[in-house]
Amino acid sequence: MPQKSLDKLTEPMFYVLMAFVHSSMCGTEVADFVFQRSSGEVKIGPATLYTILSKFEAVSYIKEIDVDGRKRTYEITDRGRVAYAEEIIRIKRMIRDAEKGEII
Amino acid sequence: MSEEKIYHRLTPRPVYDIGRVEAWLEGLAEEGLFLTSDGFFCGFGSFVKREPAKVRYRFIYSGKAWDERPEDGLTEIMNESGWEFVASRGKFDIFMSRDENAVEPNTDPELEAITFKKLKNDTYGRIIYVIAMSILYPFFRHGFTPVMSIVMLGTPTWILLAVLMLTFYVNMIAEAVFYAKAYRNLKKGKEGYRRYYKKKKFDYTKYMHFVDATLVIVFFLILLISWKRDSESEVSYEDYKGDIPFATFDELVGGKFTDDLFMKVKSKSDILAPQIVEINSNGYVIMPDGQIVNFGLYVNYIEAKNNKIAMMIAKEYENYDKRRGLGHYEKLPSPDICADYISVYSNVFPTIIMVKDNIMVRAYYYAHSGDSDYLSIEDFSRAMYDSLG
Repeated sequence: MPQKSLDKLTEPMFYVLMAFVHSSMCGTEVADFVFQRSSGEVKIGPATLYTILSKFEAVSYIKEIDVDGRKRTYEITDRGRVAYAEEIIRIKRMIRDAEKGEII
Repeated sequence: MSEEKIYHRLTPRPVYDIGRVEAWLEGLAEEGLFLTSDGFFCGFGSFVKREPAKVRYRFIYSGKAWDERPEDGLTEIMNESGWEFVASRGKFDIFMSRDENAVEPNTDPELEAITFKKLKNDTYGRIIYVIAMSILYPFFRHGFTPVMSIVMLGTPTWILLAVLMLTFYVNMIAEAVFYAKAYRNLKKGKEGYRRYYKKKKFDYTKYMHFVDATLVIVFFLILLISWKRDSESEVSYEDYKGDIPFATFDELVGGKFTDDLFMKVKSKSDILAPQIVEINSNGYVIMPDGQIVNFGLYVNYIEAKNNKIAMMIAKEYENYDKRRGLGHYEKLPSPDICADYISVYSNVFPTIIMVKDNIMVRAYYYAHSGDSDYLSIEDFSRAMYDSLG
């Protein structure tokens, strides 16, 4: 049985889910995708990436679909898509709220 | 083929300050010493000589068992990012990178903070367990008996044990505080535990391993010597050379023991109690009227440095008996004896604890002839009191 969903996604977690929404991939492909998609703003270290992948697997946001030697490929699950969509709504709401006030 | 020469270097302390150890390893690599897969043992790290290089070492928490290798998934991702696994230390895996462009393994302070929260909670759990086992359990099991334990263990051994335990507690608390601080810093998005460590010519922290090891060795040596002395000090009554400073079976029952008398005498001394004598005796006594009495006597005689210490030991012994008696303890009326302290109770056997000046005696006995008790507790107490110097 999967663990309880994560309360909140950190910035690297959000980008990792974004990578899996894009396509199925392995760990290093995720790191490269995030680096490029964020124009080099977000770098995900290998230990952080491994922790995120383990956490996402535990809460069933992603699942392993292929193991080729030591290379593991994952794909996003429906639960992961919902978490990603909810996070986008949360971030949009924060931006909307911020825009109601002063913009520095 | 000749085996490669292994160099050993003492690791800096404290061991939980992983930032310090990482900086130290990087410093050694610049001198051409690289950590081997044997990692660390007994405060030493093992190294091989290579071309000096600027490298980075990182300790990655994995939470696995002590001697397990990191999971394949982690090794694969780390390798592909330019990090190679070197060795394990406790629940950490040590990775090294020669590539200065390799991304730092941990880039999410919030996630890393969770690791340090876990380390902090584990350490607090360990502190609670150690305190429960070393302080609370003995307290609930035997009562609060500090003076009695000091005298029985021997003052020097007890002091050394206390110093060792204190060092152990302080180290564990410092470790928990370190993790808590790293956790707080990471939560704020700051660098959690890695600081700038200035390279020193003489790092005294390394030599703390020797201080610890010496303390432990000295403690076990003292313990061994006192055990040896303790076991050698127990002799049979016939072989005992000293005086027995209290009443034994002949003054108490006056008969003659049959040949199967068992009687051991143990004597020692301590700074707080210059003379400690224990006897343990039992057997059958043939009385002048021909009656056969089954007699047993156990005595702790402690001549303390002063009356105050004797009184403290007496009260601690009674408290100890109360707890150990598991429901058998029953207070009995005290006989009219002019002792500084007297307490009479039944704790399976009739027992007395008395203090006269600086002498404390705890004694219990049995004396049966058929179904009747041969020696009353009043007579026993009086005879024991009169026999004390």
